Amino acid sequence: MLARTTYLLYKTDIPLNYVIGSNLMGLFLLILFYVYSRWDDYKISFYEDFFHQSQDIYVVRNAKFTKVYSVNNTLLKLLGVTMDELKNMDMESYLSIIHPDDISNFIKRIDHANYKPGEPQNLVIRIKNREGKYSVIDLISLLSEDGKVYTSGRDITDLVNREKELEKLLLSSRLINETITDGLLYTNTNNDVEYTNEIFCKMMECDIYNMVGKNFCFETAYNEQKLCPKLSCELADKKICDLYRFDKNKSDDFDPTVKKVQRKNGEYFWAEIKESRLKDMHGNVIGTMATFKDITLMKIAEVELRKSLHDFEQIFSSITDVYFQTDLEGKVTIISPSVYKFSGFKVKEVIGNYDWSFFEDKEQYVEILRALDTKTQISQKINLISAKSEVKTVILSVKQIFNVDGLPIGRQGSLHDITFSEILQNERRLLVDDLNEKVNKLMQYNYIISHNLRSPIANILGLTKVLKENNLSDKLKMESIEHLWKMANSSNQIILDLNKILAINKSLSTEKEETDFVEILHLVSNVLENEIAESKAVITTSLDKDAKLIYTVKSFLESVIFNLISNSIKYKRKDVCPEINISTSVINNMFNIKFTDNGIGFNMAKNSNDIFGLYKRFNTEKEGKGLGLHITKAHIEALGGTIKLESELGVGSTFIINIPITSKHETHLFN
Amino acid sequence: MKHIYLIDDDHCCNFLNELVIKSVNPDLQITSFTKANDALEEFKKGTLDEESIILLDINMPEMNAWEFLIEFEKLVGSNKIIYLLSSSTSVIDRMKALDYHSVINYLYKPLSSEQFNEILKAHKKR
Repeated sequence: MLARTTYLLYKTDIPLNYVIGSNLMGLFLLILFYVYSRWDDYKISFYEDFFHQSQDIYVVRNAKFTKVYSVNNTLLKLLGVTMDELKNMDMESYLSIIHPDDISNFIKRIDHANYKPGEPQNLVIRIKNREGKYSVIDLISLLSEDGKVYTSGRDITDLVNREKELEKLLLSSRLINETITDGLLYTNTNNDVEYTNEIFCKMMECDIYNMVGKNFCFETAYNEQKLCPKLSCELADKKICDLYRFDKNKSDDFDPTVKKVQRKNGEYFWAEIKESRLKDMHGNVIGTMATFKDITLMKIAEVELRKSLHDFEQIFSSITDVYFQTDLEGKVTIISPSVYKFSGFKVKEVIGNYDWSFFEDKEQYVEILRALDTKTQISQKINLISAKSEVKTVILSVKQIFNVDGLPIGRQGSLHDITFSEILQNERRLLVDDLNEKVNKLMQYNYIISHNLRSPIANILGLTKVLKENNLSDKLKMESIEHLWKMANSSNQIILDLNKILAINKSLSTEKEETDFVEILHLVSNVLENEIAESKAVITTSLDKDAKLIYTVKSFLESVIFNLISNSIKYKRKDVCPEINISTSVINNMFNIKFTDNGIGFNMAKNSNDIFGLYKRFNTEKEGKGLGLHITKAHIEALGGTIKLESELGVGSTFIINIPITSKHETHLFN
Repeated sequence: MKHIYLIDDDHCCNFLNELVIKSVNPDLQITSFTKANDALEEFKKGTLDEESIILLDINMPEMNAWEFLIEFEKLVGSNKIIYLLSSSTSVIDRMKALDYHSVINYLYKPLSSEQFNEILKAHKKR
């Protein structure tokens, strides 16, 4: 429509010229008519047929309009009257058929005084035709010297109407042209620019006079710079040129295209181009009308968006954490590629599956989801099952997501792998514990070496010095030698003890075996047969049926039971027969031994820290080195177990021992 | 006459110290205890005077030197008459020992005649 309007706009001068042309022709015929009629009125009759057939109106009358000499049928037909009726019409009758607005003009023109012979007078008036409607008549009148007025005229009603329509079209075209924001380009079949608007010229940075009438082709424009020195196009993109090279084979409908156009100054602009074919009334193609819309800003924004999208994708694909989104059902819709490294699952294996199916404890995940409301984000530690069925500890952060209308559309979450740091943390904790223990032991041994071992050596040094420097009596000499021998033995014994203890700490040999606890009790009872009989000790047992077999180092367990029973007998209360109870149970995969006696007990308030210490002795009435309980503890710890004591002085003692049942639980990971 | 008290759970050590003391001055009176508790019982009788010197071992079962010192100071006040005698080279023990008012010095075993001479000289000056 736009294109056609512009076309008409361009063609508006054609009917106007035509009007003028036809009037000149009319004037020429009128002059002929006048010459002939002057020559001989009667000769006109020869041409009467011709005049009656003419499209124009001819009237010969007197100047005062009181007498009509001759008139052709065309006027009679227009007015719908006969020749006689017209000849009888008076001025009043004439005025009655003239449009009221034209009457004054009419009267002025027919005034005889206004006429000069030989000078044609022009008058356009509206006359009521035979249908009662007004016809617009363009009249030319000529006063002859004999006082007759020769008038010719033509019905121009249709022309005037068309002119009005054209004016309307012109107006609307102008309005469109003024308000349109697109560039316009109308080229004819030779690719010459017929019309363009200022907007397009501005887009191309080109003067309108350098555009209209020139052959338009981006390529030639660029190469030869004929059209406009600044106009150019992106040469690499030849299609933009083809677009404007007229091609009859091209279909009439073009899809909008987007082209990057380069100006001479090197700048680019992006244009969205819409084309349509222009056709005349017979359907012949007469050109192409195109609109150009500068979409550079939009395109820049699009490029920016694409770039940021690309950046986002880059980031998305390089993150080590996993990001996911699900729909309302919980089916995964988006998952970051990191999921493969993270869990061994491929992206396509995850998409479409329910998110909870990847967690070890589905209930825990469901609980988290239940706790989710519209705003909160929940972060929690949760275990994930990898594709290889390994457990991974992750920090899960999850929240609901909503569309622009605020309706929930699913949830999104991220997973942060903390398996490694968990392992590290555990390892570190074990390592620190182990180190602490080792440091404690080392300090203990350090003390033993600095005190217990040095003690006999100091005595030996002192005694030898005294022997050397003093002349002692034989008796004192003998006594000194006796002491020297004891001290030498003592220091030897300490070294042996230390070796023994260090051997326990150092090795957890592969001697672990299925050990029957009852068998151990029997063995120990046999070894201590005499002591038990002498002291009249009573040993009772209460063994859980599940706690009879233990996978452990048999000799260690033997030594533990031996030490405890012999201690109970050795440190019995005076005049009280030793009563020993041994009970076993299994608690949390640990073999639990409860050993109770009714002996002298320990002063826990004073000595609780030293009970298991090396060379710690709490009773000097009995012989002892302070080694038994230290070795007992060393044995139990070598088995990965623990020993605790509950005791009351003068009442008895209860040792509580826990040893792992299986060898799998390695506590000597770092030894 | 000075009275020397030896407190050490080790018989051998007491025997050695007696020999050393006798070699310096055979006239000195010496009493040995292998239990700190027994010594305390004796001191409760008021046997100590300014001339007395106590040589005290640190590591002993039942009652060690620290426990003894607390009880001792309760009993006779902070009379400076005690020398701690230890085979331990621990610095901590030494610093701890010198915190007690009744302790004059901290000596390493074995006790030598020279060391004991010094002790006697220091004691005379007081």
